[in-house]
Amino acid sequence: MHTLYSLCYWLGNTPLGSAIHNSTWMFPVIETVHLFGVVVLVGSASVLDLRLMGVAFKDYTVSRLAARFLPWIWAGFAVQVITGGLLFASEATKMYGSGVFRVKMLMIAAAGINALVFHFLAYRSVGTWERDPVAPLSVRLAGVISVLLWFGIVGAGRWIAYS
Amino acid sequence: MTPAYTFAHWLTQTYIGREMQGNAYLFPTVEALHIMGSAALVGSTSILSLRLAGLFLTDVPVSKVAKQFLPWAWLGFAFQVITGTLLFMSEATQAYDNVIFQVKMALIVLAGINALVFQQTVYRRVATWDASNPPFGAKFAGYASIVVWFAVIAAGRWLNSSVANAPMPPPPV
Repeated sequence: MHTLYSLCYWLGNTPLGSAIHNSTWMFPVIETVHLFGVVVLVGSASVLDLRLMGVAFKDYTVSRLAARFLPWIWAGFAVQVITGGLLFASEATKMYGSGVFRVKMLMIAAAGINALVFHFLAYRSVGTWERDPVAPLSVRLAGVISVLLWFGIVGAGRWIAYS
Repeated sequence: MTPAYTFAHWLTQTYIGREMQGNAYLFPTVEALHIMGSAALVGSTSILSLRLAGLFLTDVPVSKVAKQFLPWAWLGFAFQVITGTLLFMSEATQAYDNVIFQVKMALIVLAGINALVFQQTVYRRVATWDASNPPFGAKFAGYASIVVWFAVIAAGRWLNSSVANAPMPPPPV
């Protein structure tokens, strides 16, 4: 059997995975917390993205806004990884075969790469452009890509439930 | 038949109501948009609420946070009303007398009352506490807003499993 499939099979049969799978209330409750996490993660990421795009919050410098909102982004991300991991564990073999789930994971990876590239390239020189009325193209692009990816991830998440 | 049922039934039979039921992609798409809208609406109200509670952006005046995030909250609210109405139109007869739907609507009204009372009382004197520790009334309004809006999301999630799979109920006599 494929290693990844074996891993999913194992995960689905752990006490935690099967407990969530067999419970009538655990899945919807965890899913609700996952929806709360959307607000925290995508809400705070969008604030920063809108600033990078130059659409809103222009009287805060980018570094100041990043310092305030990054802790919330990370906290939201942690909630999403934990609740998402639990939801996945309860139906891991089903998710293994889901195309939408793979697309969602790829988009999360892409959002991470986008943030990393921004952090190590454009953000290094943040002091030179953060007061400009219009940020450099690479900065605005990072913001647009991030917003599109995160909302795409939310959309894909909703779609998983139907697939 | 009660007037409420008649109205709910009429909604499901409108062009939009029929389309929402007939097109297999439309309902999940609008639902996805409704979840995205929750990030905009509850995200921006929560930022202001955390500021009112004295937990976030404490070095920015409350009036400034309000000025910057309330337009996004209203935009998100308008988006939620539109997408929410579309979802409702597709299953109005099942939703209108569903207790969870009624609880969700009551919670939204409660969030509105909380905001209105805050705006008409404590916020009128915002100049006196704008840059300092918010008074009890502001903190209360902030905490209440967070609790109520997240409860609205929870009710929405719960509504999805209670309505979407529910059989068509017979019309009330």
